[in-house]
Amino acid sequence: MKYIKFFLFIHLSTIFGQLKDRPDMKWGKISMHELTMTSCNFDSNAMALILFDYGESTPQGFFKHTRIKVFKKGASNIANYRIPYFVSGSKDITQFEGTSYNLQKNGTIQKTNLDRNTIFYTEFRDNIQLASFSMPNVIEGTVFEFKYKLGFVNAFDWQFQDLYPIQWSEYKTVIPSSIQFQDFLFGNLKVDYISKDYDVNEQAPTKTWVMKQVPALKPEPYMDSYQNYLSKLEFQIFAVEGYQSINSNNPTVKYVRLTYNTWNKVSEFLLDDPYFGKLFGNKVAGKFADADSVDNIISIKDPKNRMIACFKFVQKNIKWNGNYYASTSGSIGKTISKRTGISGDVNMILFNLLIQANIRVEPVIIRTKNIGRLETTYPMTDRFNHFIVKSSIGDESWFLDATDQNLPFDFVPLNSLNSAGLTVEKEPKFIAVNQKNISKRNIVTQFLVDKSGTLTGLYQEKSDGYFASDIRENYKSIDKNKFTENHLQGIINNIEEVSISNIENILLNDKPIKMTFKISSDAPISVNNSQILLPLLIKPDFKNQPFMDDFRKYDIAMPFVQESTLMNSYTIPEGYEITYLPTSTKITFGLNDEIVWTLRTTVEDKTIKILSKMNLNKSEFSKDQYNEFKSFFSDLVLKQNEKIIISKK
Amino acid sequence: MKKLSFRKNNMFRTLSYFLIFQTVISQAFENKYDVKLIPQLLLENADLVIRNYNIDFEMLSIDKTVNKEHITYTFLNESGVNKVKLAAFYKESQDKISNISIKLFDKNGTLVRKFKQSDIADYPAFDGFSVKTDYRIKYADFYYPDFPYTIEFEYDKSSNHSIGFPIFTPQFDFRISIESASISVKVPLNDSLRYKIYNSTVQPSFINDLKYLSCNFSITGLQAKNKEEFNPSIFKYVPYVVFAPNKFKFGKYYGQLDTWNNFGKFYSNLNKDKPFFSDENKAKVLELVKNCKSDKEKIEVLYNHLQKTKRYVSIQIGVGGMQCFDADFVEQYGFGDCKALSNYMQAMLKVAGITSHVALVYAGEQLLEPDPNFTANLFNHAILFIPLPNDSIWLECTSETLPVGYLGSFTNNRNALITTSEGGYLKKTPKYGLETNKITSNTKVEIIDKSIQLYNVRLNLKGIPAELVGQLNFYTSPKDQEKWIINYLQINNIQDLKFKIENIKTDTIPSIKIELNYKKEININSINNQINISTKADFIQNRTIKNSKLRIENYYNNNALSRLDTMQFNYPTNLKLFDFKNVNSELNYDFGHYNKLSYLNSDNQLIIIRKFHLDCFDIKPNDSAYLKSFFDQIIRDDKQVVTFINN
Repeated sequence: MKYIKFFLFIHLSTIFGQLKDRPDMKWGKISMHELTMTSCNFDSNAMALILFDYGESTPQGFFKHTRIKVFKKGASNIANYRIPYFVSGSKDITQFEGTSYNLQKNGTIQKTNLDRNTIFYTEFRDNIQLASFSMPNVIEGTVFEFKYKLGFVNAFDWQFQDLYPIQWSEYKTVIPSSIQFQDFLFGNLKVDYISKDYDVNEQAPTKTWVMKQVPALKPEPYMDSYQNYLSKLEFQIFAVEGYQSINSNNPTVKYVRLTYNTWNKVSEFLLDDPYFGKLFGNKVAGKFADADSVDNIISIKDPKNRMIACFKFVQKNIKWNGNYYASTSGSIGKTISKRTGISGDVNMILFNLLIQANIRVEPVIIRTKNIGRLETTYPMTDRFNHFIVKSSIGDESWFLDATDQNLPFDFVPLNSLNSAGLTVEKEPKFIAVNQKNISKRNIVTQFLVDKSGTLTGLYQEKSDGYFASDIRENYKSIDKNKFTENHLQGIINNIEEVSISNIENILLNDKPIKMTFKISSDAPISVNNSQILLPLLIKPDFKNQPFMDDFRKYDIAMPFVQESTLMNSYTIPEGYEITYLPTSTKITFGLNDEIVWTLRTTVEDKTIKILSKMNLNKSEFSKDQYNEFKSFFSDLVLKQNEKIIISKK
Repeated sequence: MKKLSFRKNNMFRTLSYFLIFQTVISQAFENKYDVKLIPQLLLENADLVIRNYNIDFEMLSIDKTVNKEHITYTFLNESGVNKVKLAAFYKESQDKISNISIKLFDKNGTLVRKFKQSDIADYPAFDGFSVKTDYRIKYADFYYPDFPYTIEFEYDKSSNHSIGFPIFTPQFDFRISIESASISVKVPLNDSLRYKIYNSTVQPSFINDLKYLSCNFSITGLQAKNKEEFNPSIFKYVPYVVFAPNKFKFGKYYGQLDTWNNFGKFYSNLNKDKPFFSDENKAKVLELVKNCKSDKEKIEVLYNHLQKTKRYVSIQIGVGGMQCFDADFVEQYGFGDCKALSNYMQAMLKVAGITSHVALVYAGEQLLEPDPNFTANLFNHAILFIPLPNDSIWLECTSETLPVGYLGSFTNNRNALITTSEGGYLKKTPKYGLETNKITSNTKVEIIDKSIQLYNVRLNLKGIPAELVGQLNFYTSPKDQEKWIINYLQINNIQDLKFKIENIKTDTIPSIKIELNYKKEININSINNQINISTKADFIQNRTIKNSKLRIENYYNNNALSRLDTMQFNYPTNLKLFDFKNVNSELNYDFGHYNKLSYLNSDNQLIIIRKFHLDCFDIKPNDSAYLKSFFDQIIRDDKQVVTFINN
């Protein structure tokens, strides 16, 4: 009883604060204000407003009740829903109701209920079913609400933020004290109220979170996963208490089944997992159809070559099917024969093949960039969604991930580069998963300018790392006759004829792609009577200023660390002289020269030589640096897009 | 499980020994899918070679048909793989898929994998916009590391209706060549069979046994086509055959497809009790139109009511997606699919005393044109047709943004089937030509000094060019519109943008006014004393035509457009015009007209007027030189810059 009182005390003190602005969330109780409001008072741009979003997780299931105001009919798609849920026996979706409210001209409120016959159920896969529905009569000014309960008992994560602003988001958990759990709050926003209480009926402590006036999540240019910024709650259960009967005569005995309250426990669990740790060291080489060549690979003498050969073999022969998984499907043999599988399978095959090849390996589980950063404070297994391999030879080590078929072994797929990973071993540790090699692109061009202002010449490019993987991806996904056109797009307008002299190493990931094109345009670069204006850079690193907004909400994530050089020469026609040539310059960003652009221009006789070098030494920048970042880019874009002027003597 | 995989593994080893042995003894065991057997001509411009494309369709009775597909693809590269989904689409309520078989062969034609039933997944076929569809899809993921390789895909689909006779389109995309393709369509003798062959002179053969008549058509050696600029739909020039029954059964309904008249009647009868309201809803409609003085006014009022109060929600269920929700349903719930919304509009018009008919069309990029001389079910969308004494009106009932009577690029200029209870007929939907699709722009560039230019742009879009911006204006918030408009108009590196988008509702065609004010600031290096400004507005995008000696297909344009762009440069007295090539070009062809003129209006004002129109055309490759010189001249003129220096 003491326990209950304690919580009641907290409950009263916090609820008092809430009462003032907590909306009336009673079903069907729509206020005149909600019906007549015409815009969202904290986001004038909003086309709809989520008036409240209420969720509750109890031992009986998950309940949700949402009310929405539509300001513009153009946002009426917000009234179409698809709810996925687990089907387990008779417990599925219940208490399903919806009503739309429209204020009529005569002042009455027209109510339209969601017709059960218009809720469609589709069997999706395995035990997952989809309920789809469209709320009725949604027009400009409509208020609608719906609620449902899902019977599948679990700690449901909660999202406080949406693509539309939310006036009030409230989430309550009623979880028996026999289950010990930890909640994690993600995102930039603060919770306005938290209260704790005790539910006498359920005999369980409750916890309630409230966020008010939650702004709509709006993507910004060059941001990493929006999941890093989305305000949400996630849960991890780390212990379950229960009672166990030893035999029928004895009274039951209390036990505590700890799940994983330390990273060591997490690792221990994974090492013991038949889908994961138990598979370590299983022989895979013989499972391949082409077993003989696998035997050859694992017996290559030089260890580094052996490791690379194993990597290339798995990368080429097992295609990742697009689904991430930190564990495996449990049927590696099937994945090998199908040649396609989840990410955990692909890299488990690599891991085991490397073991068979006598390469030192460590299993590393990670969280990919697209689903947000890894929270390392509390041990949780379900924070991870991908598995990669750390291999070492002597003092050198690499992170290997065979899921990307366009990268060499020493480039980690960008999505796997998300700060830290956990090694799965007796004494697990967090290690930084980073990319040592810089992606390089080197373009060399020579152009002959004729008097009409047209260009003919040679374009040569050598690209590696992520530059090359982009090219490979593009090469593989589009019609072959469109590749050159696409690749050279924006380099020179109106290319009349491109003859491909050569594209090398498109399929050899560990070599840089080399391309040579002969280019001639039949329309001029900019001209008038006496002048020809030539682009300073044939392919500027940045053509347009990407940062247009005055404010920045989220950190800036440039694609990858890189070095791109551009060497161009223009041979100008007889009778022409240079009127304007931008001078050599160097501009930098950051205290440690995180971004450096250098330009060198020289003239030799009739030839203008331009050397541009862009070094992006870091890819992540804080939003606090936004103003300087923006002005650096304004300057950079302006300078990179300058024109050289030559004119008739 | 373990045992099995061990055995399989052994089998592979045995197989490879066997292969070595085989090549030693003879070539008699030749693999039919060996890539070396593909004729060289079929590899040119191809990403995918279809080795055989066999359809075997049989109508057992009016409510039972079986369609057997057997297709073998040789993928030459990954873009070839992207053209195919190894999938069988079916409708839960109508079709059954059986005997799926997928086999994978390497480049030598050696079988390397046979898919098991457990490799084949079954999912609802989400189209990305339907709230509900009862289409499902059975498909298999496949991967093989070494190109080229071959996949043989077979399955049977049996259906409880007979409306879906095959449409035989083996060469369904660019960069696909066909080694051999054949179809056999078999019907009971007492049922008749119709077919029409397009873009081919090959004739079918017939077999008439005592019970069945079968029609066989086959074709071999079709070379791959490249997609190039101003290409028409591929079905303008590749062979295809459309088959159709005379009589069919669909759900519990019997119908006739022998004439457009009968098919129109069938659709109309299927939905004959739909366009009616309850008395209460009738009264609502009468209330809406009570002050209207003409039919046209009533149509406008009711169409606006539809746009304001109903929304499009795709629900693909019911009798083959042909029977719609009734009018009272749409009134009660405020949504419907294209058929339901057209029917709802028809019901309202009926109450207001105006006759209208639902019309079926193929919307979007039209692939197969409904043929006046051959009736077949080639539709995916419904609109509404109102016959009026002077000029008829067409309504797109799913649009929330189009003006009354304007169909838009989604359904314009094509044959639609008007369905009435007396019968159906084809009628061409309106074509939007030069007088409709217009862009006018007025750009004023105020040159303040060497580094700052102020732009004022007034842009009027009409017809098809206005459709997209009209939707943008309706579906997105002002903040999102700003980003979109910068991107769309390609006005980059600007500052202080103020813009206004106005939808002119009074017009009968979509009409959008955009006004933009922005600043371009350039911190010019002191060495460079000039300022150079392009004489082409940023938002004009030129098209080009390559020199293509090898082109076989016609140049084809279906989008007429006329535009008039004026630029006015005002510069201060401390600057003078240093260099500018006065342009005075005029080109006149059947397919288009172009005229650019520049002049100094006063001491400190330069005016450039650019008129351009491009009509619909269909030009033979031999006659394309004019087309090329037309576009080349425009680009040359647009590349002119104007240079100012200090006075």
